[in-house]
Amino acid sequence: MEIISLINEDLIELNLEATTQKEVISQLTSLLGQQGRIDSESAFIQGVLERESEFSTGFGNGFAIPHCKSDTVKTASVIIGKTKNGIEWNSLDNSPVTFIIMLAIPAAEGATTHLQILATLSGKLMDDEFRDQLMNATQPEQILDLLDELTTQKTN
Amino acid sequence: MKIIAITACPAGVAHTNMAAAALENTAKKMGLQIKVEKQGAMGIENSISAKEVAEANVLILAVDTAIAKSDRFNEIPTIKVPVAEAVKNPQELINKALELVK
Repeated sequence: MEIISLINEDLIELNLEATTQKEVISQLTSLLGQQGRIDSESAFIQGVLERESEFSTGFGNGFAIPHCKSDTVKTASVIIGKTKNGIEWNSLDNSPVTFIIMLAIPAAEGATTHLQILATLSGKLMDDEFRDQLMNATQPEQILDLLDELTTQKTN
Repeated sequence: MKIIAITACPAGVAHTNMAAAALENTAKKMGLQIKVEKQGAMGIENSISAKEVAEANVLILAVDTAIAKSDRFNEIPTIKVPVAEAVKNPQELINKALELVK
């Protein structure tokens, strides 16, 4: 299970209580912090918000892919959150966001397997069926299975 | 009709690949040939060859950063948009590119 170095059940929170973009980002970032995957939560949050201010990562249909490439990231990671409330995200289609896939990308990392998986995941998010499967998942395990299939397909 | 495209974004991971997938999926649905080169965190992927440049009718640049080797494309009609445009409405973007060379 190659995906396991990037994400685990404790990096998935399907019942986020957050009501604003900033709350979502800081709550998901604290999960990263708890696992020691970043040096500084505040630096990471700032990086993510800077990226959002350049251009919203809300890419439509209720999904957003906030991300930060920074030397505060020690381990490439994916953090997934689903919110009870629709979050204003200034999305491409103006719809509120409820499903967030946050990427933590180490600054120094070159052409690695980790980056390849993050890249594959990003591309797969353009697939309607894959997005529906993510949105309909009720347990972290289901999300992990979906992501794992992705990496397995890729290496075949 | 042969379309070539380049996608690139600042972090070189999320939007570079989302835009590339959106263009490839949409071109396929429209029955068009497209080759999308990704210039991202892993360098240049799915690189457009000299032959493909020579045969291309139109170039789509969906980029938010300066791209490498842009002088390859001096002679090709080009439409340049922010990378998010390719994610948001790939079909409209491809149609605009087709308009250019009608």
